[in-house]
Amino acid sequence: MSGDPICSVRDLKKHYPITRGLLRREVGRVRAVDGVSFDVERGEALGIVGESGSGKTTTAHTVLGLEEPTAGEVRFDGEPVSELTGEERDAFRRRAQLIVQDPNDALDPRMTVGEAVAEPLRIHGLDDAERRNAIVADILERVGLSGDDADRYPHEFSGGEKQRISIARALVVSPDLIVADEPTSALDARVRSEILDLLDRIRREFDIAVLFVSHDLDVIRRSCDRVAVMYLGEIVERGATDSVLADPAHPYTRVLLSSVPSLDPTDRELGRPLTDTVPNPSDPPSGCRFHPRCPDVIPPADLSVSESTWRAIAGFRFSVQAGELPEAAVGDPESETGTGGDRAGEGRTAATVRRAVGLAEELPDPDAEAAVEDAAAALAAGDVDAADETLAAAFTSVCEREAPAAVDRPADAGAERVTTGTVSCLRHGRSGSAEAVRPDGDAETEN
Amino acid sequence: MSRRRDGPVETPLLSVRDLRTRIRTDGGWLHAVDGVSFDVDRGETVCLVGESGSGKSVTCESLTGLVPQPPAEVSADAVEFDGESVIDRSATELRSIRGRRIAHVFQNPQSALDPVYAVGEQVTESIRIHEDVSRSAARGRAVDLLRRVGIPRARERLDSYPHEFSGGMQQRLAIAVALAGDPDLLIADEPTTAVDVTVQARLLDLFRSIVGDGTSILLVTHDLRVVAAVADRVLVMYGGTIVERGPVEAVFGEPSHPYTQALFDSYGETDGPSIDERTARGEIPADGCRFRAECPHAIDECAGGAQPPFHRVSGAAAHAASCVHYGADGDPSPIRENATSPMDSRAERESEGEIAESSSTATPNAEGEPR
Repeated sequence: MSGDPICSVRDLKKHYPITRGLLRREVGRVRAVDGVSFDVERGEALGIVGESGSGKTTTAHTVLGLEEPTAGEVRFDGEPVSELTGEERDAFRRRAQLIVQDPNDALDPRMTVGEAVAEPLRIHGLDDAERRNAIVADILERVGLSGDDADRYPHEFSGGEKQRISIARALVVSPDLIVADEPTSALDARVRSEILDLLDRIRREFDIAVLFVSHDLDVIRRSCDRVAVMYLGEIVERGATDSVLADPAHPYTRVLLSSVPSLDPTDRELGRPLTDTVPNPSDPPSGCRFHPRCPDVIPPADLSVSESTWRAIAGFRFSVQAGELPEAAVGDPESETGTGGDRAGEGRTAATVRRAVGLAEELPDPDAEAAVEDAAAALAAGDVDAADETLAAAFTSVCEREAPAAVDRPADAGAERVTTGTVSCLRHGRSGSAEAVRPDGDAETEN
Repeated sequence: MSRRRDGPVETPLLSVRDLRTRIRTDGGWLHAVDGVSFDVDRGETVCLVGESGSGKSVTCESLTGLVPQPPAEVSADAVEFDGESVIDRSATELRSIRGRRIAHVFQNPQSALDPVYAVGEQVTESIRIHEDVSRSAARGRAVDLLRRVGIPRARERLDSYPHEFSGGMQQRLAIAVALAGDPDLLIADEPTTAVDVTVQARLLDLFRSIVGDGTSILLVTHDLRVVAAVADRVLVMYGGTIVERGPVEAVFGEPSHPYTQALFDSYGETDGPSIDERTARGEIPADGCRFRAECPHAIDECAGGAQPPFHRVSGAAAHAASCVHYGADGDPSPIRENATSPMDSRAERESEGEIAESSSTATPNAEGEPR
């Protein structure tokens, strides 16, 4: 892309304080967005994909100035958004528009479609009613409705048509950036694809940049040039959509992609993370935030077991930590007392626990074996905390000590592009110095 | 693929013939379900797929009397559950079947869970409604149920309240409540629509294991990916009618009704029609083929009368579409040329299919859908 980006985000943080008591003492912080940097080039479609709680919507709202960032900076057309005042602020509000998931939230049921679409024009100072009406009729046609629809009310339209109306409302003030927050999540598949086609077409026709925020990889795949994958407030991978989705480098991206069912009913395998529990964003895991769920978490250097055994050990450890163990693997303190042992909690021994977590066989590594056996015995006795501590002490991964920096994604085989974005995962190496990785590392490589 | 429970194999668990539900509105009668017939076998997962307004939810709700009458009117030639007619039952009789032998799960688990009661109480309550067991025995059963639906540390969590669980876990709880009466049929209406993909994946695993235990599932969804992941058979609905039905591999391998094809196309990475080519979404006709107003292949014969009869459309015996072009006088080849399937191995199936002989033009194989 040439020219300066229309929107540039640097090390953006948005924390929400958790307060308690009359004095609203801060007892913690939800780190909804925790150090995010990206650029939106003019006329491009950038996707932010992530699950609920990843911080993608907060990021979008902060970009639009709807939320005050806790730290970091959003620049729009070179100017810091938080410093805009007066006319500049008004201009920014015109040039950056939002489309929300549910068009009913964006449309006043008592306003005709014409009034709704004309409202932004009026607010931004177009007082000539006749000209407003002409512009509205033109815009309605551009979004696939008719000029006659201006006199009708929102309830007379289907969900997809209402979304067209809210697109018209965003489009009418000729913005440079549209933030589309789950624009099609409430719509049926065929309507979804029409709305995405429409957004795509107006983006090209009017050279408007679109920031898509979605949990739906189909939406991202279809509409975005580049994608950034968010997990617990951070961007873990980014790059050209085609290469990231075809060849995901971050384990989280892989889990996300493999969790989406294939359209081929003979291929029914669904991917899964190591553990299912999403950590609390007020207390994110140390190091790489994905490590307790990561199927590819790095084993301790001094551990000599096979890869599959390590995976079982890591699964054991982080399941215990997350409280996810199958019932068969946890002793039942209630039933220990009194009864002669052949009731519900019967015969749980270290061996049954180990069978339940797939670590029945003796491990070749004596230290690992001792730790697994200790933890299993503690669990059999119902002491989850002791098991957790034992496993945490014995099997510490570099992934929990060290926060991965963004490094170049491995180049696609046979691809012409020099780089295809960045990934924040220690499996792909650690960058020696922070300076080696530029904040927005998905442009071209240095040298 | 279907695992069967004991019992006569010949009678399906649920058999529905010509179900019609119309709803009185200000503008006259709305024919929400307009002549729907299908079976659900034991241990089978049947998916009703369609867009909002296609009648898929109303179909399910009509079966168990969940549609308020009036304003609705439900009629059918037959609705038989386990060999017995349920259509003419009283509300009380229906209530005992619904819940115990047929259970519902909805999109929003909050609708099934009471926020002011601990989850253990809610699960034991539903166990004790259906079965005369002591409180402590019911509590033991509740623990088993929570384990079965994959709630970790089930015993500890009996005393937690619904809001202390994540959305995915709440849906598991709602499923546990539904399974409390050990139902033969679980009707699940968009059960994964409100959850993240990683959570959805685990819920789909859970549905598979429920079917593995012998319960049949009638799953309502708008999401073809969910269908591909769990269905044994598929019913595609449009405008209150079933337009295509068949084994999931056959329907996904050779989507044959023009509507099914349009649905599949919307998942593809097409360049998309320009705005002018956008199909007009006018009124859905109330007779003949309901899709004809949008159908690129519509002809005069599509209008009037009942919906077109079902014609076999592929090698799979049970794969049929309600489209005049597949009839004796029709020529389906232009429709077949449109078909795009997400499945790679179409060629093999086509070589077995009898229809291939009439139209020698094999449908070009679509590109494999990337995961």
